[in-house]
Amino acid sequence: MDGRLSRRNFLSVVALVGVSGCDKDEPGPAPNSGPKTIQMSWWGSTDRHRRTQEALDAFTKRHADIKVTTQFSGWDGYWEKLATQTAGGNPPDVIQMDYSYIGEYARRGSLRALDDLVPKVLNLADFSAEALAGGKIDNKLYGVNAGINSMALIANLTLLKQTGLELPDQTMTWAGFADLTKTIGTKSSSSGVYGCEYAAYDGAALECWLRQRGKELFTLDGAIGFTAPDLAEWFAFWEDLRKAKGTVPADVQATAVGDVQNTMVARKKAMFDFAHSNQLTAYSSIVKDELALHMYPQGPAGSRPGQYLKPSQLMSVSARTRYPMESAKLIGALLTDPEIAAILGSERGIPPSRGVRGALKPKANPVEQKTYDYVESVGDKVGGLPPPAPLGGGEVVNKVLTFAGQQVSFGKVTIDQAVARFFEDAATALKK
Amino acid sequence: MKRKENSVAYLFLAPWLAGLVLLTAGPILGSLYLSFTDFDLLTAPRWAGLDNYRRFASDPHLLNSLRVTTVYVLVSVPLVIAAALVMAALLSGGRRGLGAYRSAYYLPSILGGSVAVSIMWRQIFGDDGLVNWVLAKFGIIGPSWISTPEYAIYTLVLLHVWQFGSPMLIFLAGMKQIPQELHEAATVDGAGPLRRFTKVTLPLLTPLILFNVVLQLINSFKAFTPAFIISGGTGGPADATLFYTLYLYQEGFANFRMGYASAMAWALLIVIALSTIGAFATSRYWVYYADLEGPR
Repeated sequence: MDGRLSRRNFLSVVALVGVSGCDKDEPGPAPNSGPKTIQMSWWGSTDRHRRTQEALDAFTKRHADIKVTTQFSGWDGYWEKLATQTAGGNPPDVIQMDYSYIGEYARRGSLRALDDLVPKVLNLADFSAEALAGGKIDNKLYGVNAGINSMALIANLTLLKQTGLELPDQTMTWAGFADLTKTIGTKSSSSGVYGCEYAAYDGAALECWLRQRGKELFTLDGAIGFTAPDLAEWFAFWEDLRKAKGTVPADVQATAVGDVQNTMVARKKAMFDFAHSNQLTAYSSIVKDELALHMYPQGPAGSRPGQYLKPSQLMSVSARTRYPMESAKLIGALLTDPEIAAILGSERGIPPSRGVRGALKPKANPVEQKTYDYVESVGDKVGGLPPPAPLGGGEVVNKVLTFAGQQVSFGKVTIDQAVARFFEDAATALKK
Repeated sequence: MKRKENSVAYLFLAPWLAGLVLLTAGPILGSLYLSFTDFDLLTAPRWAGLDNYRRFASDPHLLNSLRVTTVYVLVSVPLVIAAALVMAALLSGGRRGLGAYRSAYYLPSILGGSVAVSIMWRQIFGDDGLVNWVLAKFGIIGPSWISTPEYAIYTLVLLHVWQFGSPMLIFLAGMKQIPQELHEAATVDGAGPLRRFTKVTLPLLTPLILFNVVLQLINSFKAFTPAFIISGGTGGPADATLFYTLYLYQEGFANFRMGYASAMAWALLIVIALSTIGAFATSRYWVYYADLEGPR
């Protein structure tokens, strides 16, 4: 290469500058004349992949100037890949975020605050303040709520009936739940169906239980929000259930890695899973039995609400994107355009846009209807959103807790040893 | 003139050299630098001196991953070599249809490292898997082999041993090189097939055994895919399949500690180098080279 410009090159550069000069909407360097390509990444089940692809096709049909490439996978590997791409300077433009990671990415400067694009490009007028709060880190909007959900037990009604049992009402306490699962264990564990998954290392289950006693997973300043005796009591609760065959055995539970298809209810190993309301759609696409949503068990009388309404996922825009406008436009279409949002349905949770929700709810299929009803019914029984997880918080919930819980369930160490180890590992994870 | 010839040579080498420098040497040196930093992937690395290396001794997960990897290497390498030798001996004759058998036994080596086979393995050794289905026919209720801490690592060893095809091919080629007259002489002296194998074939194959041991050592230390797929990326249950490489990957890419992961990578390089040197150092006691006289 000699550094000189040929006449033709010179002309095309001038032409490009001219074009970009005319395009008042376009910040940053002018792209070439072809369609603007943005990449979107998400995790989820096969059902979500299919719906999202369809929704993206509908979007690009309307916006001929935008092309959307996709990158999707299960939950496993999603965060590793995202971290690698972010480090390599080529993250996806539109990123499906999780509430446990958004603080981490936003505070490390990897996400673009969207406040300047609202409402011109991204009209969120009919989102409630609570729905938007989950995407705000340090008072800036880094993610748009893609669906409202809440913690929920997934219960297999068909199997319960076959065992001669009924689903208790929403006042069921942890003690009552323990009795129920033990009864199921006595009646049907010989045929390989247990009462409940072994949820000792399920972050959401622990969080709900802690909040009922007025504690949190993490404090506002990012430390662990509970004590060793709390965790020891929690592990002891589950060990008691496991030993009485109320939960699946440790080795069966350890196969429940990744997404819904490997969970205990999806594999008919248990009648209850600790999950989230939007997952009913994915469960129903796998299990043909009648499934129901039920609140997590309650604390003893006088306890605080454990559950909360949560953004099931958030849609974020990378700080490195060349096309923030187009990315925001895509998010807007997916979440607020009734036709496109209809394709997504409530698979990601109840649509946070009131308009979309109003248009979709009457058309919802029976499974989706249950999700709507459930989220509405828990509305007055939930507490406020907990603070976003601190740096390293995702690791504590997803890795450190799992390791401690598995050590306990396989009888490798005593509960006290596992608890001590949890706090050591958590301290390492949070020291960033 | 000479200089001109050289520069032409370099010109032709340029694409390869560029690849080596940019794609291999660059990242290698980069990781050496990163191993002395605190680097969370998303923000710029900060110099941390020897902190990452100092953390090794106090990291229980690292010590455990070393233990898991060592068990994996020490159990699977001898088994792979033995399986490859036995199969090579059985397939080295001149009977008909052997070509098909050789291909069939080599097949796992091509497939074995793949994601699909790891997923199949997860099915076979899972709680509702093929193995337990067969056991149930005999009234035995088996555990979930892949997710029980005591057995999980051995399902991975088995997956590795199943891929004895590559060393087997090397042994087969080596067996063809052994002069027929040595076997004939041994037969005349009254040696049976087993004796001929242990006294003629085996000693003459020792250079290839060394070669295969070194290759297998390196590959086993580096093993990643099977543990990653079978444990769903977790190294579980309870770190039972947390290979060193898997832990390195988790620390670097999932836990945002790329500086520490880089230090781990360099430590692994040193461990592999030492084991390879170790294998060569012992070779003088057991490797025969036909052109020399006995072990040196």
